[in-house]
Amino acid sequence: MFRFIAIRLAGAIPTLLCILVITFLLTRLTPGDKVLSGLEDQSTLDLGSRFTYDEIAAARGLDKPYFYFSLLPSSIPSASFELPSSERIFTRKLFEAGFRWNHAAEWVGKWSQLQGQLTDQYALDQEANRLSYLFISRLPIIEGVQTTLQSILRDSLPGEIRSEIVLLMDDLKNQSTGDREIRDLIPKLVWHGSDNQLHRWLSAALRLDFGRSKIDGVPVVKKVFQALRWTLTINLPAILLAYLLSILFGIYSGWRQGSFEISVSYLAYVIYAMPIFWLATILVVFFTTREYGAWTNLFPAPGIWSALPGDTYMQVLKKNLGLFIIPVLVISSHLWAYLTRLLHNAVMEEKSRTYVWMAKSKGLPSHVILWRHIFRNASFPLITAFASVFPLTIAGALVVEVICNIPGMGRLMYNSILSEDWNVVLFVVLLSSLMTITGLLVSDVLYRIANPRLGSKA
Amino acid sequence: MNRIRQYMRSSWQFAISVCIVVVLGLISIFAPFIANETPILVIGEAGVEWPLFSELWRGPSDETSYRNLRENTRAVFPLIPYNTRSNLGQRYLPPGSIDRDGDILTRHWLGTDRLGRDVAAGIIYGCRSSVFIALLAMVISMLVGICIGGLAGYFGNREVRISMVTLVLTCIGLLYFVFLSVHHLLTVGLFLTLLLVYIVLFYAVHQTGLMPYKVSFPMDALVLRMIEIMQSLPGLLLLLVIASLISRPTFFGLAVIIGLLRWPGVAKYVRAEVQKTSAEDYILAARISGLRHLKILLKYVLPRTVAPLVVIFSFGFASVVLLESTLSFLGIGVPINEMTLGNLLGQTKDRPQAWWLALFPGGMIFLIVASLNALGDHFRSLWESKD
Repeated sequence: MFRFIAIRLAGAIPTLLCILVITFLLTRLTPGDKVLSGLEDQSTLDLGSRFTYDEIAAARGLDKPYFYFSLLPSSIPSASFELPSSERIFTRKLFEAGFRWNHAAEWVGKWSQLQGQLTDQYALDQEANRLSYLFISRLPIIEGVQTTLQSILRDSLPGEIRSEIVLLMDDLKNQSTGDREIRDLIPKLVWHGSDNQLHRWLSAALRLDFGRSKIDGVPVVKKVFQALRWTLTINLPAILLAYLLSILFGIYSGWRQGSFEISVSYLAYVIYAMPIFWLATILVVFFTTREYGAWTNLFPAPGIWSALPGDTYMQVLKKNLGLFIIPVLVISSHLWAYLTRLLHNAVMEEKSRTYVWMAKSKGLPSHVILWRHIFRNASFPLITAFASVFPLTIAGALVVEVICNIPGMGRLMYNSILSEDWNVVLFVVLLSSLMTITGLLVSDVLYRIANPRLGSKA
Repeated sequence: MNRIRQYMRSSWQFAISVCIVVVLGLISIFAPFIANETPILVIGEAGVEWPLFSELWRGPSDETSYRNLRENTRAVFPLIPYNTRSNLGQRYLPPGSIDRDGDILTRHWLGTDRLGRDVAAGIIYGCRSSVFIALLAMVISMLVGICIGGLAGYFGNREVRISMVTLVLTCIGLLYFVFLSVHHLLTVGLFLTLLLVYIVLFYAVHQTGLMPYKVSFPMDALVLRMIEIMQSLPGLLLLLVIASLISRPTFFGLAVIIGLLRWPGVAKYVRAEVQKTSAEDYILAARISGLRHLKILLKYVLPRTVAPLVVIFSFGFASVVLLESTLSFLGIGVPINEMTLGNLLGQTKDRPQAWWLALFPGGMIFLIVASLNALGDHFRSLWESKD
């Protein structure tokens, strides 16, 4: 068995690595500038000039290449990685918009020079600042640069500067032809070694450092684990309850076909088809007020989460216990319906097997047949389902937490998506895929324990 | 078909769910005729007009409002005289309330939402968009899943033997493709040229026998690993992230994303089924008699998987409807101003008193999901009883 577990664990390593790399790719695909959005405190957004930008980028390693090697068009010199971050980004964007690399680099050089002149010789800080962030414009790059340059042009500017800006604009117009040299299409390999962003990200990930939240600067890991407590407070009782009840109801509803058992299987069917957020909404809308009848005020309304900064877990739980009733009820009933249906079908199938007939004919009492023989065989789908229980409940918890105002992982995820706090979002994704992998592993091991016929070979 | 008809007679649950699915399909197809502002028929001095048909034919017409009718004119409106664009300003009207609109008194049978739009019309159109998304997503995931699963199941790990030259050529081609697209250098002309070069080289290698030695390509292992990775990613969360990355969401884009995330489930089934079938004697006989692989796969192997695929299709359809409505309930990744079932239901977050917004759209989702689940269940038992 240990050998089996070891083999399975080793098999999970490539999957895990793939998931880490996918998460890394997603962090780079998220919109917005990485240097600015990665700042711990958004108030320092007022960076002054692009030189501060370059310093921050260098300090955070964001000026490094992404991977261990890169394939560059051979018209781009390898030395381009040593340029300051802002200049490199700008040149790249111009290149992608159809410039030749050397023209783009020349243009960006002039731009940089102009900016220096503006601050040093003429003390026009406002104009210099606007010039600084041309390359982060959300518009298509050439269009964005044109409009910004146009808006800087004022009559009060010294004539020399005016003519230089006009020259820059003309250059931009003339050179964005979109023609490609043949050298652009020939790739060349540049090797960077371990000095790259993926390597840094992976080694930080191994140290459980996933950056900080954009909103309050709290480390992501701390924030997510704090929220995870409440998600588990909902999910663990719900899973336990659902498993216990579904074993009871599922087995009997498959075994006997009385009216009670049939109505249980119909109920399971109905609840299974109800969207989890509909169930929760209905409970919240109809059963938390006295508006619809004398008895409908069954549950406390999802109100405000009350917690003081210094409270321990138990204290907060005691204060907000009422809020947990609906989520636990909804998630457990949904899971119950799913498991009951599985068990019901499995028992129905096992019932007609010859070994049951054999056991009956040798006079075993029916509860022995049911619990000792049928249950063991019918429980396999229940164990396989264990792998999908975690993703199911996490997904369920997401909507239920949003509806019932519980500061769990799901609501954290929801709020972070709305406020574009990608560090938090991606860590939640990573954590739940870890949970899924673990669930798969555990269910595999349990399956082998329950079904010794499979042996313990992988 | 005959078997299905027979089965329908024996099981009333099956008959009911088939009926519901058919009705839902009709509602989604004919939504503009069921709920619309424009009258179907206007009888006036100018004779008989068919404004709704001409509007659907030519697109929305000019500013003519059919709400203020001239004298001696009669109009026949669709069953629900509103569409999702009719923004009347009367917010959160409870079901059955009368709304005065021009000369015509109408009832909002199921109330109005936070923008004053009719909920009944919203449910009709919401059902339409749910069905559209689910259908498209399932078709995409089925196509991808059948291709990948079928190839993996049929060829296994040893069957495909390709020459080293072809393998290296393909790898270089793919790498070059990635290089071009990363640096924004790819144009349509360039792509077609490259494809042509690749095909010519491939053909040349095959014709001239430039194949020093062949290696077996581990198709099955590769596909299995891919499925494993895809399935250990949390579906809903990943979908939320990807959907929120899109700046201007559309139903079409959402359907494509869902379809591309859901193929592993289909591929797993198809692979197992194809593997089972390929091991049978008649396939071996077909191979020995020299039939082409593609023909065997299409003509003898894949038709055997149709029955389980119908089951997967109906369950998958139900779960895509659930996914889509969850997304629009949360308001992520779905066009925000469209009326969808989840969007209507989600409005109760701000206003719990509007019970009609909780009850009816949710009921519609429930109806779709329940009838498709039932259909899947019955198809499964039909298929199992056949064996």
